[in-house]
Amino acid sequence: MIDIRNLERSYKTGAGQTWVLRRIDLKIDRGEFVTLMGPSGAGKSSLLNAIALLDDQWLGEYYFDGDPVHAMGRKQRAELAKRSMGMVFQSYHLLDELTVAENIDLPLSYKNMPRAERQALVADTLDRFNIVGKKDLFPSQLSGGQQQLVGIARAVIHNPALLLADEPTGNLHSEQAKEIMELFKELNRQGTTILQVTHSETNASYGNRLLEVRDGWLVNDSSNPRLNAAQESTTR
Amino acid sequence: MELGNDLRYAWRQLRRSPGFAVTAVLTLALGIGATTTMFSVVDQVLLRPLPFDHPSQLVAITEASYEKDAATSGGGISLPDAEDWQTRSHTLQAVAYYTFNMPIVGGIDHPHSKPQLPSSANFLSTLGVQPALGRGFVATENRGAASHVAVLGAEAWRTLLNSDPKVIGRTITLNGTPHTIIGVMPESFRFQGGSDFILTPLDISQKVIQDRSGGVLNVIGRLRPGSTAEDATREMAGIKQQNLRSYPGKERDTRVLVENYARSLTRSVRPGLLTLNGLVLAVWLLAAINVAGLLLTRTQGRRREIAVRAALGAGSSRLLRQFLVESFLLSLVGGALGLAITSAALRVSRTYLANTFQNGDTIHIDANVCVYVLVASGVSALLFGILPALQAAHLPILTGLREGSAGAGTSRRQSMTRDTIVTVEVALSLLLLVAAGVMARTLFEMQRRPLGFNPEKVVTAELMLPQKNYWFVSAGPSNAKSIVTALIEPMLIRIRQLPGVTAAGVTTVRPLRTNWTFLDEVRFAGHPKPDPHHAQNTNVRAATSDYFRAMGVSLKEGRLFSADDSVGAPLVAVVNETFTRQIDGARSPVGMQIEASEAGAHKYATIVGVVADARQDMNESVKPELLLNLGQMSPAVDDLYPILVSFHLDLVVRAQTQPEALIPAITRIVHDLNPAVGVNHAELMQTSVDDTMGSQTLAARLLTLFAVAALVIAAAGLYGLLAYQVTQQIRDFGIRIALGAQRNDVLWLVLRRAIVLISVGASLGIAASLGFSRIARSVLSGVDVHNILLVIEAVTALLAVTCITAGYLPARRAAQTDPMQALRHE
Repeated sequence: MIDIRNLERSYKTGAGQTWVLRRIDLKIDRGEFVTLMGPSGAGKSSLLNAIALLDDQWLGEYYFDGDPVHAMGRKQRAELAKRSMGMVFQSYHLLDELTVAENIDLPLSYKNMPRAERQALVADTLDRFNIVGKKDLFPSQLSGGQQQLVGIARAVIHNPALLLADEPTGNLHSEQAKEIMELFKELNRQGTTILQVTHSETNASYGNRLLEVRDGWLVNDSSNPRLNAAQESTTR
Repeated sequence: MELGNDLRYAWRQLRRSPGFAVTAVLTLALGIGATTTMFSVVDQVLLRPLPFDHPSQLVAITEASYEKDAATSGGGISLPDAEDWQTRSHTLQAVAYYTFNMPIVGGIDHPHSKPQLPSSANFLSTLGVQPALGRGFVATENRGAASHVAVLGAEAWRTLLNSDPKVIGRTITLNGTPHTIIGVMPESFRFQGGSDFILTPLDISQKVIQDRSGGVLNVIGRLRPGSTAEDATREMAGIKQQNLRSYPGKERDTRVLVENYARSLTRSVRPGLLTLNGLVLAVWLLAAINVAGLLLTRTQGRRREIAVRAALGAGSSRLLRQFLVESFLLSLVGGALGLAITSAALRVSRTYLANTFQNGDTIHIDANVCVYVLVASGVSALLFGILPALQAAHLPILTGLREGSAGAGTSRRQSMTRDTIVTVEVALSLLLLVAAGVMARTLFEMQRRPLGFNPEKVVTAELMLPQKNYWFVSAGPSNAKSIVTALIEPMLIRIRQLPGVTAAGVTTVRPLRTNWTFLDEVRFAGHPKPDPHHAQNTNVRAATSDYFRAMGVSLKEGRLFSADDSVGAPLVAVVNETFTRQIDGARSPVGMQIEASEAGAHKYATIVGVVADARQDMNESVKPELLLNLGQMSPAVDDLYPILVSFHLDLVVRAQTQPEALIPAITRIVHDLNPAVGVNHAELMQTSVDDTMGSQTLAARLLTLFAVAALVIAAAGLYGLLAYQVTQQIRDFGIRIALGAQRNDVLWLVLRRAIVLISVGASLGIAASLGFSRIARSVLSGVDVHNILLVIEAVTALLAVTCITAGYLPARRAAQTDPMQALRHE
């Protein structure tokens, strides 16, 4: 599904450059549940944002389902992200002025979909996530876990091929976090490819592949022993 | 559907932020309301076509001396000239004329005076209008008894005959002469601002009208298709030259001006109206800019929301649309409230509008105004909404999604944009304040100048005298009855006997009666006849000896009229102070003789005194005035008698207490002597003064209101900007204080920025004000440089104090930053 070659990202700082991603080579297959870990400032979120097409200032090659994203214009990338990706944020990022149902409907409202079809999808999603009774509430009336649940519902309502999550349980207590991770596992079981960024080993254990990023480099890949071996030989 | 969602969401956004919503809506309401009110006036006065057929073809034709601006000093036309233009013009397809009279209307329940327009038979057809009932005049009805027919205006039909449907064929009398009503004009027909008049054919068989050297008619022409007013002007000038050669000594050597008729009606009010319109547009612009500033700040605070929407698939055009919908909603609500403001403003200023503009009483909110409000609201929304909407549409997603990004910094460009907005607000406010200050100061100075008379405990009444024919027609010296002996003297004797009366007099035109004036050329005895190009004119009036005491006009030099100035004695006159200052060679005029008739015993009047300047018009400086001794005048001797004395008089009575209680007795005395005399507008002189000043004061107050609103908007804008920036920089201030900065250092840091913005804005505003002052001096009377500079100084100081105060509040908040709180905020 995802094929990244030599991905790099830097920021201008004064007279020089600060590299946040360095020569990342990465392949992610459909159906994988991948965890990105690493210390603060390692580049995890930067890599996630680049894959999610929230950031378009990177260099390198990026193929999504065989399509060269690096050759696409801004509009095409936006269309690809709208169609195939869903994003879950640590801070939920629900819109306070919209109800639960309206928040979930939001990505569909940008798709030129007939209203009846949208309403049907929203109803199904509310049902799927067991939050029908909360559809007219506002985010301020929900607990953190419930808000994140709505955030996930919003991210998957259009059945994206890829779900990206940036510290999805960072603001939740352990009970709520467990519920969320169980949900991710179920979604992955149903076929959604998931890429999560987390500091939590517990959360990482829900995935079936672990990537470690350090100082902008991809230093460990649980599915790529050669990468691990290369790192070990470098450090030796 | 999506538009519905956007509207619903926009409404929720406004409800969540009532402070912002109320501020923005009120600001917009003020701007839109002000400009809509102005549009209502401009539309009715300047833009709306006259209710005639093809009004653009109608022209007004006037004559003036070569020296003076014909546009402001045009005079009447003689009948022979009008007939020459009718027969010889190729550019005009029709020439019509009319004059004005004020007869007593009889044959009705309560006889009283009513405006009469004696006119040419083709008057209505030239205007392109037809009576709604009956018919208009035919060509044969302009002579003798055939001219005793009348067409009523709609309002006259209502007031005289209760809109009697059987009016055609009824008879009314005009100054005792029966006239048969042959037609009634439609409700929509208004002439000279109303429909309360009686149209009659002008009897051209009267010899005096045939005088080529006289000019009593107002002339309207209709251009042929393809001809212009300039073409007609050239043609009339050519005909004039031919007539000067054909009728030497009879044809007057004057300039002929042909002007679009609608423009001629609004000439005097147009400059002031357009200047006011410009100022009001500045208020509107200021309001829009202020709301733009508010929205820009709000957009910064909504970056997270914008980033989330973009991350979920909203394209930039979608975001642009959403934010513009919010702007339009704000603007529509503001526009609706603005319409209410317009309605209230028009209601409050109804009297002022009716007194200032023709058809001013008809200014109201109609479909045109409603469309204007919609357009103004739409344009406002675009003006103030486009920049914030564009900013929202292009906000970087990641910046908005960063943790705590609701306050995550401001780019330099955004900061410069907001600084520019505040600077422009300050500049516009200063300009508005200066404009309002100059106009208000000019008006108030005009009004505060001494009245020149004492209106306290004085009652006045307008006496409309019955005539056989028209005001300019003499009854003939041999058989004319003198109004002075038949009416004025016996009336004054009896009025003086009323309890409490201390003085009673009569003048032909009293102070502040602006709709009556008669100008005549000044010719001193022993001086050569002045070149027509250098002729000087003076207002000519007549008054009885006790008038000055009754009106409280003081003597400055020489003497007033006395008992020695009898009918057979040489005619005497007094002049006002302005006469001595403005008329060449009249610095000390006592003893000088001035021409008052062509020949005879009263060819000259001797000036015996100089009186104080009595204000003729509250909005204009005093003009030269010559007052002849009314007690000495008679139709047998005085050429000016018919013009001055036989038509309209003003009675002035001073009493010790409650002079208004004397009105019924005065009216009875007048009617006992002659029941045909109309007694109009009997009131306290103070009431007349108050009404005149009230209208102009309202104008000045409205201007001041606009300017104060502008000041409040600018101060609010500056406060909002600085308050927001202080919030953004809380962390910086906390660090500074933690590192040793004193509170005053932080205060000064914020205040310095405010002072820089105010200084730049004020500099721009002063430059704009100086530009405005040049325009104001050319279009408004009474504006002088001293006034303007004084106002600029005062306004700049006021603006600086207000804005610095507005800036001080957030500066003080910054200085009170708790470093621990601020750094925890990070």
